[in-house]
Amino acid sequence: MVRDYDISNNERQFVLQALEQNVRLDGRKLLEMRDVDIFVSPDEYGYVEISLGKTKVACRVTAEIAKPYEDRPFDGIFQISTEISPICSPFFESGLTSGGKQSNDEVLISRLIEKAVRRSGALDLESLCIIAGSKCWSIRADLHFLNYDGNFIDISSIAVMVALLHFRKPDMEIDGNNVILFDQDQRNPVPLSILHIPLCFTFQFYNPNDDEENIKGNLNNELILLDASLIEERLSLGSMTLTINKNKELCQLVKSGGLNIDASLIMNCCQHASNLVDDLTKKINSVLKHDAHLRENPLEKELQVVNQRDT
Amino acid sequence: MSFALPGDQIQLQSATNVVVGPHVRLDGTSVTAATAGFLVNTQSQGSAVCYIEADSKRYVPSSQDFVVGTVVGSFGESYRVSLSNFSTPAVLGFYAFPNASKKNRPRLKTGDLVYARIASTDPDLDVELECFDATTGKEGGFGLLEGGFVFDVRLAYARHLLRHQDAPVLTKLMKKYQFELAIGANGRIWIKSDTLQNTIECMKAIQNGQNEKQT
Repeated sequence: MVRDYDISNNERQFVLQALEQNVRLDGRKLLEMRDVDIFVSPDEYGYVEISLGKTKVACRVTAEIAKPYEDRPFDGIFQISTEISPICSPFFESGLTSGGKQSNDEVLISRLIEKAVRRSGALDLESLCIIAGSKCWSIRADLHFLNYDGNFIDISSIAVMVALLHFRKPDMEIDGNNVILFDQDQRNPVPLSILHIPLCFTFQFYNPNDDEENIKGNLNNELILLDASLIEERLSLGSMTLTINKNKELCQLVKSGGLNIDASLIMNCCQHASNLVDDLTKKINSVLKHDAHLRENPLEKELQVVNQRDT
Repeated sequence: MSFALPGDQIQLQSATNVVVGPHVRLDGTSVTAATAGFLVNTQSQGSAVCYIEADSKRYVPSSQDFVVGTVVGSFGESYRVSLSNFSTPAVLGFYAFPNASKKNRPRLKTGDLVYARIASTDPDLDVELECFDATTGKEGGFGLLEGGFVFDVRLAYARHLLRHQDAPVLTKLMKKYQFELAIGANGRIWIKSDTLQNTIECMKAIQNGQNEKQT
């Protein structure tokens, strides 16, 4: 049996009252995101840790050579595994205790990520083909959810995309039907071919009026907020996830049930997300650029070793 | 204050009239530590008290603790009160209030917050709560908490604030704000100030205080 958080009426009323006054518990405005903290591993390729406030996920990308699917001989294989273990919060049950059944939230998160990253064609699968029909690269992204404070969807999409961008697969040569792989010391590993960077933005909806006003009225003053924290996410009446890239291409829009929202408000959300995606993409690129720079100039890294300090 | 590791022998300061508190194991005549933490020897109500102060994440109810709980339902003649998320709820009887009778008793709804005292913690029974002062039988600040907001802090920090009502964070806040406060040993603090903004500011101040060094 899945148990929910025990949220008191006091908390519910307080949070909703605050939202009506355009105040959030952590001091943000309604449409403001928490700071995204990106850590890319300096020692290996394809391992990243992303934090969004207290929410934290890690993603590791690995590659191996496999046989392509029968019906897609020219494509490589790309898999994303999103198993949420109770390590991040007892709210998510492990497959062992819930009898192998995933909770609704877990299914929703993995399907959204799947659609956002895989089906939007972010990774060029054809470039993963080695020998048509017999050998291809199989890329696997493993997401590990480390702490839960709301908004797993957005952070997962960032984590998978940064990890894919950061990953390098070994260089290789084809000799007839043989594939020769080169070690990292022999030849520089090669990056994956990433076509675009789709990022998710999840909006939560709240209704300050009664149901009738929401359905029939013309007020359109439903509260919309971005990047919800745990309590805000548990109290929301509906959510919508947009997946967008910096070319302002909307890859996905998911709103499954919940509060009725006017189309004009949804357009506003899209507009807002398209502004945010630029900054976030820039930030991701600058982190990766910095990492690449340190790899090329390993001396610089040694010269600026500083003790880590508690902030 | 000295540091103890699990299994360490504890030297008691007096041989008689000693109360052993949390994380101290009494096995016949030997007294050992049951967890890693700081060993505290104090005096309380004429007897020596010995316990180990250790931070943990999950609240384990212990008798006479003051707690902030959420009513999650009622069954029979008692309410079920959640002391921490995803733990077994405690039980608060309908008549565990001052001057409560069959006709005249507080009616709590699901989702209400209460400030209560843990009356008994039998390992084989549900944890029992009471909403009145153990010595006087009067209200004593317990009961329904209306309005305000509740937030979680570290368990050791909550205990520290409960024992030290003159903690700098509280005295400084009192100079600047007017607020009502209920600290639960289960790591939950309820706060209500005159305005919403002030409540959030007080909450932030108290929450940030838990990262400071405690003396």
